[in-house]
Amino acid sequence: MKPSIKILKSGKSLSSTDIRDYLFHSDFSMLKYHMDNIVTMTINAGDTETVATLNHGLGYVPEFMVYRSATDGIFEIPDRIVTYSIDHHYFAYADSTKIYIKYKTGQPHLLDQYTCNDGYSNVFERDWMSIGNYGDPLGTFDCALRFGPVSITRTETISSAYMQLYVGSKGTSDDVKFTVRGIDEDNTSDFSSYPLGRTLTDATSNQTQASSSTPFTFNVNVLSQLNEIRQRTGWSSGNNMAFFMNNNNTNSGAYFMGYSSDSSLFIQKSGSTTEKFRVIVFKDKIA
Amino acid sequence: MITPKLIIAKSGKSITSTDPMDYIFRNDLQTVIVYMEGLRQVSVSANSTAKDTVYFKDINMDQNQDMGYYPIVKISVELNPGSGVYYLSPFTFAAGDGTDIYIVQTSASDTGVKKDQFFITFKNTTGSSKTVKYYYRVFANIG
Repeated sequence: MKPSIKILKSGKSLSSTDIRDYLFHSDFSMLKYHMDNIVTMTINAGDTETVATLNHGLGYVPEFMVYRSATDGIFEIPDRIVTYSIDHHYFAYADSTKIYIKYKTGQPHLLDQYTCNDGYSNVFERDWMSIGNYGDPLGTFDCALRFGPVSITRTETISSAYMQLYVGSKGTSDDVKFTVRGIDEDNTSDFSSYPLGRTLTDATSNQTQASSSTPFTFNVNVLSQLNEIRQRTGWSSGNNMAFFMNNNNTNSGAYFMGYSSDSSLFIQKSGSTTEKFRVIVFKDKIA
Repeated sequence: MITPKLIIAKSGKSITSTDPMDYIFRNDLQTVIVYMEGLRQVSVSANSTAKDTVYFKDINMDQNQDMGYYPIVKISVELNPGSGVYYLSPFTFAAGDGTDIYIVQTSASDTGVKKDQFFITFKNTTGSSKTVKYYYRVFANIG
């Protein structure tokens, strides 16, 4: 007869064939603890991938568990979060020397995206982005795009800011040329009131944009315009801001247009975020 | 009446401690028993899927058994075969994440746990056949 050691739960039978009745059974092992560490990861602005490691010193691939500590709770890794179409992905893996925790994101870290919440075209009016020169009979296109609430303060460091404009239809393949200014207001109201006559920022930039096969997107740098708006004394984080683009000698027939709600404002903030992970390693082998 | 207890405390810790972390074993705290474990290898043809199924056994490891409940299964997979790097379950990878192998979870029959088995479906994203290794542990006493 094979000797065995069994410790049963109170009231259970030694002859039970249900493993749940046992606290200890010498035919079955239990995970054997090796180490329990906190691993920190610094994710810098602009990062799309970051790896944190822990040396386990076992010389083989061990069984392990990883948890991510966040302000809103503790999460088992892997942990995939998709918000506003942005894919944040934490996952863990091990080899014979280390445990690795990787953060991947579909969008650079601290790059905030704001979908356009109002648009106004001088020809098509509400909900349109249009820029360029249609020629007869519609003439030149100007437009304004509004975003918000925008979470930036008057003083924090912003390393880049750009609009990503969606073009659903176009004219000829000639370049479209335009000038970009900000609407110089603390908290631009929506475009139910006519927006194209509002006061504009001193900050101005010109862009010559090549055409492409529709649909396509292109970026418009608005950093200087955004800085002028947010440095107004009346600006508060959470306000709305808008940008005005007007045609600048585009050849007749070349234009871009699309629904304004398909365009976005991107703001790349600076700094970094620290993540904490709890890594529990067992002596039990995986390989 | 005195209730008998079996308590094994960590070195230097008191057997009157109220912190569960101070104990190696206590008869009034459920342990986590590794009921079944093993390394498995699954051949997956180029650009194809392959499903592997493991049936749960009775306590004597003799016959397949419907446990009557859903045991906890932990799996680590070498998603890049031959790399010696094992990725931790659950699997949040998908097509396009850059590993040679990913775990298919399109439908409930692809990857999951039933009362009598667990099963996992691998997708080989490469143009050559791969042998995928994975290690499983079944924690059946806390199912």
